Amino acid sequence: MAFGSRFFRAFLGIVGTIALCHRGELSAEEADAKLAIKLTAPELAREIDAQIDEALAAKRLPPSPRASDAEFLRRVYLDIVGTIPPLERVEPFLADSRPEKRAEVIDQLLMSPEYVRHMTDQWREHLIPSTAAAARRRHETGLLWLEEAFRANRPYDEFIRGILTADGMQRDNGATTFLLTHQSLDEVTDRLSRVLLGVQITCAQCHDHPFADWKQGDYWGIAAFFSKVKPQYERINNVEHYGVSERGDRKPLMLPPSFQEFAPTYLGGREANLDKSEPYLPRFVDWLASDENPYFARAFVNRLWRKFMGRGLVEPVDDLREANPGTHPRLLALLGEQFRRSGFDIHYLIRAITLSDAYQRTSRPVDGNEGDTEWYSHMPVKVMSPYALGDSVQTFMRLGDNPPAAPPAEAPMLSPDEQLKASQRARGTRDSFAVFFKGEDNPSPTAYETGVPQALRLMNSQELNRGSRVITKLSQTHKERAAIIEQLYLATLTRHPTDAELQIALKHIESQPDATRALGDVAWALLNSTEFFTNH
Amino acid sequence: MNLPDWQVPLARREWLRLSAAGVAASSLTGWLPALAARATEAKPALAARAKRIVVLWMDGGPPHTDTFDLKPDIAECGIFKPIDTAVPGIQISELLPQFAKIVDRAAIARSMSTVENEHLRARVHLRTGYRDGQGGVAWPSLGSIASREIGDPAADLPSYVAIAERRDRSHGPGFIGTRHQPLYVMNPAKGVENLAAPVPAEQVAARLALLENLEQGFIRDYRAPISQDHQMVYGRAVQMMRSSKAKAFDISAEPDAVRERYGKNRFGEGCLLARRLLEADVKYIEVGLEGWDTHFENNDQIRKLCGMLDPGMTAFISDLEERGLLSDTLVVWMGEFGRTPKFKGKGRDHFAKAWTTMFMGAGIKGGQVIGRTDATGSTVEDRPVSVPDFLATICQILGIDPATETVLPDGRPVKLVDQNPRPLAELHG
Repeated sequence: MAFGSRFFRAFLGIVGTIALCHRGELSAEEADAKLAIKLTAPELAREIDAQIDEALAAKRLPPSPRASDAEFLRRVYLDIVGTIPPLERVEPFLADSRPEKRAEVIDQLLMSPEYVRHMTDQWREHLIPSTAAAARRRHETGLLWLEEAFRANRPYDEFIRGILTADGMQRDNGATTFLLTHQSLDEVTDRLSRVLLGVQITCAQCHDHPFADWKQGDYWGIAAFFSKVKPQYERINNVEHYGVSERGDRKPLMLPPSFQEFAPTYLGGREANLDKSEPYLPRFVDWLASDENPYFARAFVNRLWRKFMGRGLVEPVDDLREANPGTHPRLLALLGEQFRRSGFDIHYLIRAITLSDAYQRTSRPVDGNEGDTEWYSHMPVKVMSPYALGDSVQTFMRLGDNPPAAPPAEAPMLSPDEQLKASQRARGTRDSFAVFFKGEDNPSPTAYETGVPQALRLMNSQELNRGSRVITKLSQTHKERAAIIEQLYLATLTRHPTDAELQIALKHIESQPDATRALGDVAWALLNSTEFFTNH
Repeated sequence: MNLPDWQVPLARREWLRLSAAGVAASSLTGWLPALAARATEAKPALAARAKRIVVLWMDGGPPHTDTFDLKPDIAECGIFKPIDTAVPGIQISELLPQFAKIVDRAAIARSMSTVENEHLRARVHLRTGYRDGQGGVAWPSLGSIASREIGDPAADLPSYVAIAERRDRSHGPGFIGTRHQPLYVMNPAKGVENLAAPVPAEQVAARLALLENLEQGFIRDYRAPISQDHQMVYGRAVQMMRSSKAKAFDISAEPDAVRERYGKNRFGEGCLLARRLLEADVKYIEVGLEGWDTHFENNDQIRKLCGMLDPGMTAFISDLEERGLLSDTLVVWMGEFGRTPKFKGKGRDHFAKAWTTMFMGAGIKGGQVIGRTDATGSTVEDRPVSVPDFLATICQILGIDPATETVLPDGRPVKLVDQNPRPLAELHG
């Protein structure tokens, strides 16, 4: 409990300071009372707005108005499912005048296969190292396991339990993939402390952290929970199989030279006192998800908030600590607590954030808030992730495809091995595009990481110059040039062109010898615009 | 009350980016020129000794006791034997026999002593001079500063090219802006792809005009700095598409015998590409050799890496000399740290306290060793070289001049990493 009360005191301290600073705000007691009630997603959205608006008022920052339907639709697609909306979804949404349509589209997207794909892209990057050693392992069963978890909206704590307590062979349990792709004790400790706890204890591996108050004992105390993880290996019919287990007498993960022997210790200093004959990680997960540990829920909330809002409530997202409380410490505490009370329901948290006015504000600044990048007066312009960029280009190019042939009535039976291979192949094309555009691991959503090679690929590669097929298709249903331009805007930027833009495009077409080719130029220009590859 | 530097919010970076794109740019110089200023206070400002620089970056951290600072008397320090070189009294690893013959061109600094032991933090420190997170801003890398200070803004090719598999913020321009970001080449054998447009030149021009016109509304309404970044990068890309100089990126134009001599592997190809880029007057080139993070099978891995390093680096230096480029090109060999002199199991851990870097070219005095580690290679006994010492040395050689103050736009003075860098005067005889 030592840790819990230490953190709680710090939290009260922060709340107290804010209450003193801004008149008319909730007292610490009232704020704590809020924590004790379980809120619905719309209620939590209102609570988010109350706290964001209060800080904006204190900073004298005017909020930007609500985003248009077009802006909202494109944003919510990119944030929840990682692609722009397909053309056939855009016009019906814009024409719909019912106020509940925004909440409805959020719910629809959360149930879509593209949501599963998008979450899997992100968690794959969080959980599998980008090392050569990890690349030598098979990943496919692990990725299928992730997809299943997001499809079922497994509670976040259970999802993590599945990964950390995975026991057995990879072919039977894909969740073993994550421990299996880590080679050494420090590698797994570094990654999981950053991702699951949002703390940078890595530097304490060799010496006490230069800035934060993490000590070597914090690091090796956490590492000790992983000290029984043992890679498993067997060879059947000349095929190698791998797995992990905390039981058995194989050699555990490799120990780095900096290794120091510590008993398993929770972050904050409480020793776990574990039975040496039992696996350690189930106990670690018990602690992770317990109300003794605020880091687990907050780290998730903060990361998700950053993805949707462009900036974490605490930055960097893996540096939660008392001396780095971030911009809205009360809000982070509230979101963490409500997420825990919801049973770590990821859909719930996404609903609460996306239903808030703060999320639904336009990215257009108004006079007086254009310099704000911290207080959510307007939605920052975010850069599409490499996967989202690739998928959005595909969403557009699909307009040029013929309707897919009906699947054969009797699909051939694939062996489990063939199924794995097929699903791996399908992933390959997306991966190769994303690798080319990938910059730093886990970049800020607003960081521009495109360089000259990427720009050249967007301008000149075959994959980006297939727009003429789309034009041909659109010409079958739309005869007027202006109508085709209209469709191109809706399909790429999720909005109608302005009159000025329509005139520019028409003028271009008139100046060119071939109208179809010139319309292809318009598609090319839209796909290469800042507006296309950003989320606003 | 001033917050300690590292507590200033990271988001200020965005603000800095905005300013950097506009009028405030010239007052935003990072610490490097200021360091150079301090470095030259005692003496009158130096003229540039080199016009260009190539950094041979051993990513992951190379072990000094297996390469350039062997400890043959201590069995635990390694299995590789020292060999004699072209310079009496200097011995290096048996894994580098070709390079041993041209050690008279190199000054080996055996007394690097730095502070960061984790990869990304150390990369940031060694490439930017600042510790990650310090000041709450993204610091510009030396390559980006060189691009701004000695690059030719009108050149068709970017001034800063990084031939590297791994891209992270330690390479980046930080708050001085996208204009000075590196051109990344992930695979030197492929060079830069998609340089040719699939449509005729006049259609390219018409498309670009259309793009520019259609962008205006978004730029006006959203006022996002990303729009400027985007236009900048596209402008650079188009300039390269239209330039005959871009063929420097195609190493397949080299005779096969030359390619064999450099080595047909990533590093050899990277060095060969670097030579072609120097000839096209690119100012700052990094050539990466990845894989030095030898926690586990150190000896096998080091043998493999030196098998690429030795022919690649030797061919590169010899070629530059032959073509008259070595005298005004600085070549630096380095990683982000060294490795523990003693083994743990079959591996070596990260080790910043004592390690080795190397300088070549730019008229430096070769065939010398600077500094010394103790008998076990674990501490520096003579002439410790800190990160500021090291980077100030490079600045001085490039003639990067102190022109501005290190005060950020909010008036906050930037604390220097070290107030008194001591550049390596030994390099100049």
